[in-house]
Amino acid sequence: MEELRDLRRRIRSIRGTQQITRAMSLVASTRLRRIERMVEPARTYAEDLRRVVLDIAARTPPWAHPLLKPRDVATPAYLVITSDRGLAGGYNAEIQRRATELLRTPDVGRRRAAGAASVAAPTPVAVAVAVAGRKGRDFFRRRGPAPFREYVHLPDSPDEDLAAKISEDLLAQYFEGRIDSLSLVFARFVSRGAYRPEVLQLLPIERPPERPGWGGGESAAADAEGRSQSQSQSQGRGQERRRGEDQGGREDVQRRKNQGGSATSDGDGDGGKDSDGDETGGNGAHPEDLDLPFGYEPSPESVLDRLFPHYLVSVVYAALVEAKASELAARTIAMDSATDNAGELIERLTLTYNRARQAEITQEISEIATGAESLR
Amino acid sequence: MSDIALRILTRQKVVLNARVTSVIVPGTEGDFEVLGNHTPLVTVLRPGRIVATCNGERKNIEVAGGFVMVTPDRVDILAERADLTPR
Repeated sequence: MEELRDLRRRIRSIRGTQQITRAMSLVASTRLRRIERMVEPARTYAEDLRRVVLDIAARTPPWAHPLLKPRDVATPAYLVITSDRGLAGGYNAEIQRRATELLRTPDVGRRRAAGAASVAAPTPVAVAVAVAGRKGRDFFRRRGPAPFREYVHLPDSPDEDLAAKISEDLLAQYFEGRIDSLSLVFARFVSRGAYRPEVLQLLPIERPPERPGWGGGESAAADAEGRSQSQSQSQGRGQERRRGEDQGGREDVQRRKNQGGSATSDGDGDGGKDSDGDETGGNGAHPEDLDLPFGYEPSPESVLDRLFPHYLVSVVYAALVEAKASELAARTIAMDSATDNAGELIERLTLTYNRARQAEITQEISEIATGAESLR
Repeated sequence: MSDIALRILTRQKVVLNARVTSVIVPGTEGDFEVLGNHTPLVTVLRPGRIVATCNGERKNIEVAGGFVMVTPDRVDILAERADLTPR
């Protein structure tokens, strides 16, 4: 009797949980549908700007603008974008793991930040972390390094104001010399079933060592055909990511974690695909290419002055959108599987319950039968 | 005359993606018109009106700053905000 009541209670409680997880999955998937549409334009916009920024960087001497100047990176900073809410499967844990890896080997950031030649002087490195999202904040407060900037209570749908606030804030920190480089760590949205942690360096502006930064050759050609899915960001990384995608397919991308930072050596690996540097102005591989040096009016430096803050906002905005989409995708999946698990559990418990009930009835009958027998 | 692929983007949406014969752009250094085979150019926009002409039809787009990238056969405008003005 006791056992039966217990089972009934458990089944009821699991059914309640299942209703909640089902609702959460529905809500997340509905919101994802809306955010998903924001990903593509935000990404395109940020990447087009990035191309111009890298182009300017490649053709402008580093002393021409403070943003181009390589620094001896004593304090690399990472903006880690997580979510405010949990119950999104491994989403936050994965981002945090990626960030933690970077913090442990910050020389990756340093070398890349410095550009061409790897910087020798291994000054003691103090890593700075800025976080967006309550989950990440709690994580880094707990295990350190304590975040030097926290942006929490993120809006349901990322907006430009927030992106502007974050990027102005961090840019000021950079100019004041409190941080010496800045990279984003966020989840890039791949599809409803996949996202992948990614690291994107923003400050100082990357200067590809032996090759100018106009990696647009291929992607520009892709643009012409109506924006192919594969996005090339900075040349080296873009190419590398694309290669990765080809091999690994898209399904299990979540698991791959060596993208971005450590695996990235800028500027190589695309030599084969578009062979012409743009100093030559040649465009042998893709005659329809736009692989021509731009003129900048009034001057590269003054364009960069205006362009860079704009670019930073756009990249942060795009990253927030991608992160949000990834979060919602992760939550949809997690809650779907939780709902399924609850279903299985209910089935099993119901079986046990029925069996116990049966056993009890059988027992009662046999007791009655014995009782009747003894009366005879 | 060769026409150009004009794309006007904001962070939220594609405002215009069309082939045009000419586009007049409000640059900080003054308005300028882009026809086919323009020299590659990047410059800053000031708030103002973009006028695009395709098939003899003119389209007006209000922008609140941004950037324009010109190559011989394309013009990409990355605007802060942009809206097609209804006629």
